[in-house]
Amino acid sequence: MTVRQSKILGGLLAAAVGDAMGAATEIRTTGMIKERFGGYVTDIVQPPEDTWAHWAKAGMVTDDFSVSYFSAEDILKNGGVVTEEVAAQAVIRWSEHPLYSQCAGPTTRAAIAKIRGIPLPPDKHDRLLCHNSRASNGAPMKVGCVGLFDAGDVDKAVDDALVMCRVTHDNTIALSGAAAIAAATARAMDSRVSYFEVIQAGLYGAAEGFKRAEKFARPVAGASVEKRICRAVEIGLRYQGDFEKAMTVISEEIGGGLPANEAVPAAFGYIAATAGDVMQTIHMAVNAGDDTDTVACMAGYIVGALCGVERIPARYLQMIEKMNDFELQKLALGIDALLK
Amino acid sequence: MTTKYDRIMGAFLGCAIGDAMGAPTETRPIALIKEHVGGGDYVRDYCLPLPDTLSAGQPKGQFTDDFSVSYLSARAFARAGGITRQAATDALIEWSSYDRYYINHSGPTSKRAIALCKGEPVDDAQDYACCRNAWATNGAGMKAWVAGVFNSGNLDKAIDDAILMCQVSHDNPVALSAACAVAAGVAAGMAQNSTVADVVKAGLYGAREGYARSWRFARSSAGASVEQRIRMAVTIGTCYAHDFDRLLQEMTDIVGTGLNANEAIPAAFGFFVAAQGRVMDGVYMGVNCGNDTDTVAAITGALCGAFSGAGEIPPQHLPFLSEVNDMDIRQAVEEVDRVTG
Repeated sequence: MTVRQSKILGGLLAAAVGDAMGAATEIRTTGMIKERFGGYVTDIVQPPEDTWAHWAKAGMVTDDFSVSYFSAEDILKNGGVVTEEVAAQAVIRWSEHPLYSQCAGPTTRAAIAKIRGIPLPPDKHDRLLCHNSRASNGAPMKVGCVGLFDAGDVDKAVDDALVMCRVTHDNTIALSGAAAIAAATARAMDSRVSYFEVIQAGLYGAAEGFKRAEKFARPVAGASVEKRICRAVEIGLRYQGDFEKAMTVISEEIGGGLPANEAVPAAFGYIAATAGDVMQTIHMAVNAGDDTDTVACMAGYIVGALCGVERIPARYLQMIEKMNDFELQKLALGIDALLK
Repeated sequence: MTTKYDRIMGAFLGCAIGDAMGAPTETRPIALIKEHVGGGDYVRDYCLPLPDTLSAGQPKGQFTDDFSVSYLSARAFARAGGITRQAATDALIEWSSYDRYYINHSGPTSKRAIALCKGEPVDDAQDYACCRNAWATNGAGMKAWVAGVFNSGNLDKAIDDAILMCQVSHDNPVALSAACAVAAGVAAGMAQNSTVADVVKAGLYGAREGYARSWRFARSSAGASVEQRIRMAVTIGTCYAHDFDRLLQEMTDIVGTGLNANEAIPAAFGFFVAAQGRVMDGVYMGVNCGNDTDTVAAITGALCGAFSGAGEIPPQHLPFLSEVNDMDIRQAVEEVDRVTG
C-alpha cells in the first residue's frame, strides 16, 4: 500500500471508528459516560438501550459515517466529480437503507422530503428568512470524504463541500463548518504535513466557506465556526498532554452538540490537544459528551488522513467492514486511482 | 436611594423594553438587522416586525414570549403569596390561552410542557433516551428573573425558587443552571449597594448551584457549561465595553446569542457588564446582537433594571408598552412589591 492509499484508507477508517465508538457515548455527559461504562470508552462497544443508536451492535456506524460512505461511493462512480445531483442521489439512496433512515437528523430529514417532493406540514418557521436551527452539524459530518477526492487542493475541497452540502444544509454556518472539515482533510492528504498546517487549512476553509456560501445560501445568525475553532485550538494547545483537562475545558466552553458551530470547532480543539494523534483524538471526542459520534467522525477523517491507516488498530478495519457490509479498502483504492 | 419598588419596576421595564424592541430583530444576524430593520444603523427604537420574522403581523411594541410569560408568572406568584410550582403551572396554562403569544412564540420545550400540564398527549417516541439535549433552551432563563425579584439579596432562595418555577417547563440541568444564574444575578442586583461584580459573582454561583441542585432530580442533559460561558461573556463584556461594534460581534461569534440556554444567558451577563448595569445601554446591545435578540435583550434588561432601578428609563416606555400589550405593568409591580414585604 502506498503512502497515499494509506492516508485515504486512514481517513475513511478513522471516521468510521470515531462514529462507531461514539455511537455508544452519544448524548451523555462525560460523567455519565464514565459511570455507565466504568471509565472512559477507548474501544468499540455496544451502544446502550437509552441512546439514539440503541439499535446498533458494536461496530455499526450511525448516520455520520454511513451518509458519508454512500456519498463517497456515488462520487467515485461519477469519476470523482462532485455535483448536486450526485449528492442528492446519495442522500436518497442512504435514506432508503432500513437502518439509517431512523437516524436522520432534523435538517437532513426535511431536505430528503424536499428532494422527494413530499410536502411537509406547514410550520410557523416556514416564513423565516433565517432558520438558525438548521445550522447543524449534518453538513460537516458527511463531508470529510470530499477532502480525500480533493487531496492537497484546499480550494477545490471548499467548493466541493459547498456543492455537496447545500443540497441538505443550505445556510452559511453549516456550510462554513463543512468547508472547514473538507479543507483540513484535503490538506492532511499532503505529504510532510503536520497538524498545524491542517488546522490552518481548516480555518481557511471555515472563512472561505462562509464567504463563498454568502453568495447563494440562506443567511443564518449564529456563532462563528472560524472564531470558535481559534478558541478551541487555543484551549487544546494550552492543555496539550493533559487529556482530561483539555477535553473538559473544550466541552465546557466550546461545546460538542448538534450546532455546526460547536461540533466542528471541538473537533479541531481535540486535534490540537493531541498533536494530531489519531486514536487520542478519537478517544477525546468520544468521551467529551453530547454529539460525540459526530465530532469523532469529523475529526477522524482529518487525523486519519494525516497519520495513515497504520496508526489505527488493524482489527477495526475487519470489524467495520464486516458489521456494516462496507468495503473501505476497495473504496480507498478507487479514490486513489482517480488521483493523478 | 433606589427603593425596592424602583428596582422591581426596573426589572419589569428592562425585560419588557428588551423583548418588545428585540421582537423585530430576532433571528437575524447583526449585519441584516442593520440592513433590513435599522435602515443601515443599529436599532434603538420599536419597529414593525418584517413578514419574515416570528413576530410578523404584530404591532410595534408587542411582546413575544419573554415578557408575557414572565409577567403572567409574576402575577400568579403575587396572588399565591410566593413562588410555587402550582402557580408556575397555572401561569403557563394561562399564557397558552393567549393566541397572540402561543401561536407565534411557544418554543419547542414550553409547548411540550404546556401539553403535559394540560394532560394532553405528547410525542413520547424518544423517551427512551437518557438525555434530551435539545431541551436545554433559554425558555427557563428568560423568565427566571422573576425569582430574583421575589428574593432580593437572598441568592440561595432565588436559586431554589427559580428551579421551582422553571422545572415545570425546562426540567434539565443546563436550562436550570441558566435560570438560576439569572435569578441569583437579579437577586444580588436588587440588594442595596451591590456592585456589577456582585451581580456577576452571583450569576456564576447561581449557574454552578443550579446545575448541582437540579442534577439530582432533573432529566439529564449534556451541553456546554453555562458557568464557563458566563466567564467568557464577561471577559468580552469587559474588554470591548467601549467598542460597541466589536462587543456585539465577538459576543455573537464566540459565546453565541441563540436559543440554547448556554448561549443567550451568558451573553446577557456579558452585556450587563459592558453596560455597567445601565438599562437602555444593555437593552440596545441585546436588541442588536443577532440571533435570539429579544431574549438576550429581555434578560439583559431585567439584570440591569434590578441593579439600577427604573430611574433612568425614559418615562414614555411604561404607558406605551402597557397600552400596546393591554397589560397593567404598574399594577403587577405594585403587587410584587407588596407581597415581597
